[in-house]
Amino acid sequence: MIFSQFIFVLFISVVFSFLVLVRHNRARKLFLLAASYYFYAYWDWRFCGLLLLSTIVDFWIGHALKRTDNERSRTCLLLISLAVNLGMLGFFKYYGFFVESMQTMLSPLGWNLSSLGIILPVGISFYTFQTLSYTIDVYRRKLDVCEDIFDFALFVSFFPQLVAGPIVRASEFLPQLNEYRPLTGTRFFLGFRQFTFGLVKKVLIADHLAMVVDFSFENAGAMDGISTWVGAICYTGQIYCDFSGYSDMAIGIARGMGYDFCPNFNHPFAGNSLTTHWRRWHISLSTWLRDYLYIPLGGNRKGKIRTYINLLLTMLLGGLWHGAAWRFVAWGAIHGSALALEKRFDIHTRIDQGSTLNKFFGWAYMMLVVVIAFVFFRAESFGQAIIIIKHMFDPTTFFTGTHWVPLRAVLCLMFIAATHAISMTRFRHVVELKPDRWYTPVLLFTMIYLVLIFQPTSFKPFIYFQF
Amino acid sequence: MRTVYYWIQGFVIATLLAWFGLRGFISETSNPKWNEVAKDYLEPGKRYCRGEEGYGWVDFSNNGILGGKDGLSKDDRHVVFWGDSFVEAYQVTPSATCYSLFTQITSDAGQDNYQGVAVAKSGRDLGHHIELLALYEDQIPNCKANLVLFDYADITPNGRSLIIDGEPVWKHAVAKPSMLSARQIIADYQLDVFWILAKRTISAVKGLRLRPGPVAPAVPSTSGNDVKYTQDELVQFWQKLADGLVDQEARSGRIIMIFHPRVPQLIDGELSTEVADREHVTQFMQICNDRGLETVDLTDDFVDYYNETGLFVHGFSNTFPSRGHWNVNGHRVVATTAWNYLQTHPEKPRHRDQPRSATQ
Repeated sequence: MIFSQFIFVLFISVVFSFLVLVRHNRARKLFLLAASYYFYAYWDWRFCGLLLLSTIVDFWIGHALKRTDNERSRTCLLLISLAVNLGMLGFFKYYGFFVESMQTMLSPLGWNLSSLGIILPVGISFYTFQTLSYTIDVYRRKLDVCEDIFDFALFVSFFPQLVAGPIVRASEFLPQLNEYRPLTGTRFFLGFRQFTFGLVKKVLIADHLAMVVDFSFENAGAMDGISTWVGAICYTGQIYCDFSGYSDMAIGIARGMGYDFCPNFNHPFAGNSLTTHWRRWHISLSTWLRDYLYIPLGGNRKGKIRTYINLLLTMLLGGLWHGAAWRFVAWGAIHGSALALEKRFDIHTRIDQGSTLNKFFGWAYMMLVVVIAFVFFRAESFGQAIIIIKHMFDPTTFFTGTHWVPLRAVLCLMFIAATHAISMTRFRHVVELKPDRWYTPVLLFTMIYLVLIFQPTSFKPFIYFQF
Repeated sequence: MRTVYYWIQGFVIATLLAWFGLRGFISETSNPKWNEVAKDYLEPGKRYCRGEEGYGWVDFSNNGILGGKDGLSKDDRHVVFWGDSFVEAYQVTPSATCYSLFTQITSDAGQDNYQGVAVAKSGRDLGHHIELLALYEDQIPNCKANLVLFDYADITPNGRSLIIDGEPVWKHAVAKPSMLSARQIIADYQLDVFWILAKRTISAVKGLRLRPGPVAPAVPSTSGNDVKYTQDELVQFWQKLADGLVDQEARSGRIIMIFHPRVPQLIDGELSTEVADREHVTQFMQICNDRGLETVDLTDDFVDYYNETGLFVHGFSNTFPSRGHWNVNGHRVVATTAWNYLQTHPEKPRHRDQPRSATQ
């Protein structure tokens, strides 16, 4: 079930109707739990078992951690949780990758490994990280154990963020379940507004850019340099609008129902260094990696060299989290190396304190790294990524080949640029569409009309569903 | 209370904005007037737009003849382009279509009394043309040649005009006046925006699934082009089509069959000049030649144009290069080829045995 599908309109109407009619908090939570499992089962009911397994294991481990003060036992319990969750993730997501990589190495010896053709359960990377954050926080004694298994199950499976985030921490969500959250007009408006913004980003921008990107990457090598650049920039715009659109919709739905999630994106291309970019891009993942990987690795407390290594390792694993392929590792390596270099030469501070020209060059460098790294992210293979990057920088192919810069790409990119530019000015409050302004409903309904009329005919699932 | 008022007001204003702002861009319900000559819904003299691949318009004259808006003079030598959406040319301005360019090319060549016109509409196939050739006999005076443009889809048994029911059987291809009055109202008041919304809603409701997944893989459709026919059935089908064309040529005048392939095309980064179902097309053209029909193959002309200019004849800046309908370049190649062929073959040759390009 996708937020932009008709079935979801029916689904959410039933959910909201129930929440309006029923004010008993436990009944509402149980209904939301059932609705979330139905939402997940809509793809494939068989994977509900994994969700349930993850829930039961981490709930039980949380309680076991509460009952014991023996550090050895606690560590053992944490390792069980890590083994089960990462084991599931590893098997479903990385088994094929592992076999493929081993096969490449072993084939000269005449060995053959067979792949099992495993289907990746949607959202597994997201809910695995959520449950892990709970167990680790309980282990660190930063979080009280959840006493109600249904509350915990709802935290793991809450449908707005179940399949593609944002990655919600237990400390952020579980306390909200303890009290009745009334469905007020203001909350409903705020949720509806954010959902509509997300819908516009996804259907009007990301899906139209997808048509340009798909053709451009499919025909990599035949396009001229300019068109190749346009394709790469369009993918950067597409993935931003696709994922931040999904996040907006998820946050909007949750907000409408009375639950608050932290923002996941904050105009990531408005920064002027990769450091600021990562403070604004997929915030729930970057903070998760910081708190549960970078800092435990030693963060910046163990000397400069270790800091750079920790940064690189964190980004490499962040890349691998996105997908089981070397091109995701390359994406992580590019970001990790660039962040380490920024740290080494203190580039972020220098740009921040520098002139406007410095800031512009900082922005251009940040965009260059982001766009190039995303070529690896999108390409079908490592080889295709290299071909595209060669075309982007080879002056001999810059004007030779098929030239194609469609108007829809220009318009969509202008929209993204405009929203980022406005976010940096004092007019940003105007475009927030406040509830007490007469023009707010006009603009929201107009956006919905535009979405309904100009949605592309081919159906495009969210990019992050594959992760 | 004020909030409720704002929301109602907002919905009304947004609806009006959607209707007013988009009616110039979208027209899904055009051609609402039944035309007895064309046996189709046409809107003479009216320009309309389609928003599926891009934006453009078609300027129909009376009786659905393109390029003959001011009436056809008996003094002009008319060359008629018969076709589907390619010739109708949604995304190309009327002055840049193959039939208009043909007139211009002939005029530039000092042949002032030639006029290119077209009888074309999206979805038509060869069977439609055969039936329409009879209907338009009296409408186009001094007709020097009927250029019937086709691709493989137009000679595939698709259940539209000539069906295979054991053996090929004609069914009436032309439309019947059965348009609902509600749809005419939608067209008259330019309520296309709401028509699209209604269509999308109906389609969404039809595709609704409430049961949890996984979804079983779709069973391949067995209708239309998906049906696999035996070689004998196909040959019988093509013979029937060619016989229909020969009969019509005896009454309507010279018919030249022009094959337009979807090449050159970019596929996976490689330039492909391979014509899909080339073997079948060749067989059909041979059947036509055997019956004395002239055939022209545009494959070389399209590929040569790309090799000389680096430009594709299919696709638009807002769609995909090399895919879709003919762009301005494609129309130019078609018009030029048609003129070259008519120049080199002013009269119908007595004997033909091979499909050929215009330069042969």
